[in-house]
Amino acid sequence: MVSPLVLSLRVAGLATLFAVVFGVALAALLARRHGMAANITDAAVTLPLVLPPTVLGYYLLVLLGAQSPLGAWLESIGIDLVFTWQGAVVAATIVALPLVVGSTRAAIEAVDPDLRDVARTLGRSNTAIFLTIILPLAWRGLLAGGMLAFARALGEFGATLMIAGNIPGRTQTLPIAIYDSVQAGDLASANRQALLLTVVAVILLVGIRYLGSALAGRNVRGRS
Amino acid sequence: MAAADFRASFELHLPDFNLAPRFEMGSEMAVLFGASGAGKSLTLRALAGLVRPDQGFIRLNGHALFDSAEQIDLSPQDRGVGYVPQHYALFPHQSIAKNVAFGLHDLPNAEREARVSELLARMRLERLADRKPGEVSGGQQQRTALARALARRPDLLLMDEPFAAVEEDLRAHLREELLMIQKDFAIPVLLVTHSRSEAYALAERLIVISEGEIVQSEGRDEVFRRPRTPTVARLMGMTNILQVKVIDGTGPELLADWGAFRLAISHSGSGAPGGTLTVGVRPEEIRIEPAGSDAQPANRLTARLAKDEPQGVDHVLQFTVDDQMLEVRVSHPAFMASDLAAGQERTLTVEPESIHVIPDQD
Repeated sequence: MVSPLVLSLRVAGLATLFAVVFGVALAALLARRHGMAANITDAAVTLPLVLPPTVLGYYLLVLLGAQSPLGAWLESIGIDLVFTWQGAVVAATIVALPLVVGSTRAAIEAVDPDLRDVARTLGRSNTAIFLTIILPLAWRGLLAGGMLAFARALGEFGATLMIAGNIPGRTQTLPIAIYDSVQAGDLASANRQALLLTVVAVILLVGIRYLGSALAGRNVRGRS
Repeated sequence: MAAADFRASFELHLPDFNLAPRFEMGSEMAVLFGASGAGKSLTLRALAGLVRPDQGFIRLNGHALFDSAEQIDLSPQDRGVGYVPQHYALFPHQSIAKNVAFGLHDLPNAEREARVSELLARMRLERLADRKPGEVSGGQQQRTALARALARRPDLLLMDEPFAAVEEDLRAHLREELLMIQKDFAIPVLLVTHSRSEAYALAERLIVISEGEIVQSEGRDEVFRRPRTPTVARLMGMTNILQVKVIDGTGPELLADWGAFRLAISHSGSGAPGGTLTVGVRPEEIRIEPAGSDAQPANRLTARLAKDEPQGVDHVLQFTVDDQMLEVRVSHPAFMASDLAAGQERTLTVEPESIHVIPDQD
């Protein structure tokens, strides 16, 4: 048995981690490329932002279910994503990904391209340039994207319900637990759970503000 | 050390611009000079390997950096070319010392530190080693960018408008310093500018670019005194370009008519009588004779002052001669002494040596 709060934090935390890792890689690729393939990738990454979560969850269920080739293959190597908390992580990662890609990409594109060009004439590989120049300068955008991703993953409801279901103690995250409590007429539990989620959200907001101003302060010093 | 040899001849086609520079230089300070939009920065970027030409070659000391015929296109990382872009592109989050050390990642620590301190000392930046680029002056930023580019001991140094971000009164000093650095490192240095005074102050070789093509590449004084085309003449400040008709091209001085006036021109070649020649005259080499003067030098023109534009310590005067214009530049005291006002008529004189035949058309 896992409490909804712990499960929610675990799912949102892992989803944020995956979204940041994949999101930064995608943002780095998309920031400098403007072709057909880049446009299609961009559209695919952004789609979860506009698609209703239930629709997204339904597609995931179809895609990852045992009837599909992908689902069958995953099952054969011992990975079961349907009606498991891992499935909830997949759903939360996908909905959080466009937020990381969007803000990281904008931050990467804001880095002066001359810096990259000079670094190339100084003999450094593209990976080294990305890690030592681009990422440290785009750090704020990445952080903002990560925070937004965590918030979005924490509040995930529709897609999660579709793919992971509502199994108390196993796949019941906090938003789903609130829905469950209200359905059961247990308003005391609903109040408690809603308050819990609100507190987490407020802490997150304060964190974003604090980090934002701390970084802004650093930039001001660097510029004077 | 063998003399450095750098040559480039390539074409790069963009939707709205064709770049086709062709020049060569040795271990010297060369200035790529031209109006904005002539293709100067794009040329530097192609030489550095940051944009790829469609065809042609770029060779440095006998090695191809790019050669379309041999399918060679070295990456910027492998060219051994130092590049200082406009505004220097220093890494804002790294200290001055880290900026300088950035290209030395493959050296052992001790050697890297030794080279960084040597360069910081050479550029008088030791005391700023831990500062960020945003905390130092424009001149110090320029020296940091230079040190960073030179740290890898490049075989060629490219600089784009190196003095644009520096206050006017510091420039003369920084130019001196740059000339010394070129001598120290003994590599070809090619720098871009659109400022004639800067080009003149720095260039041993002047490479003039116009609309993507090199129109003249010679010693500075050669280009300055004997521009080969009207475009180069104008860029060099030879603003009076006249079409004259040859009357007699056999004597030691060529005689030609410009409108109603006969001009004697020092010219080693000969012109066919009846043919036309393009000649250029610098505005500062035209003299205004005092009113009522009856001196009789050659090349007298009667002109009327149309406009007086004060430019700093000089006056640029526009005279009309028949239906054509002549520009004359005089110092402020000379202008005051001449007692000239718009609408007045004066005699202008030009020495035969000051009229330059421009051999080629644009």
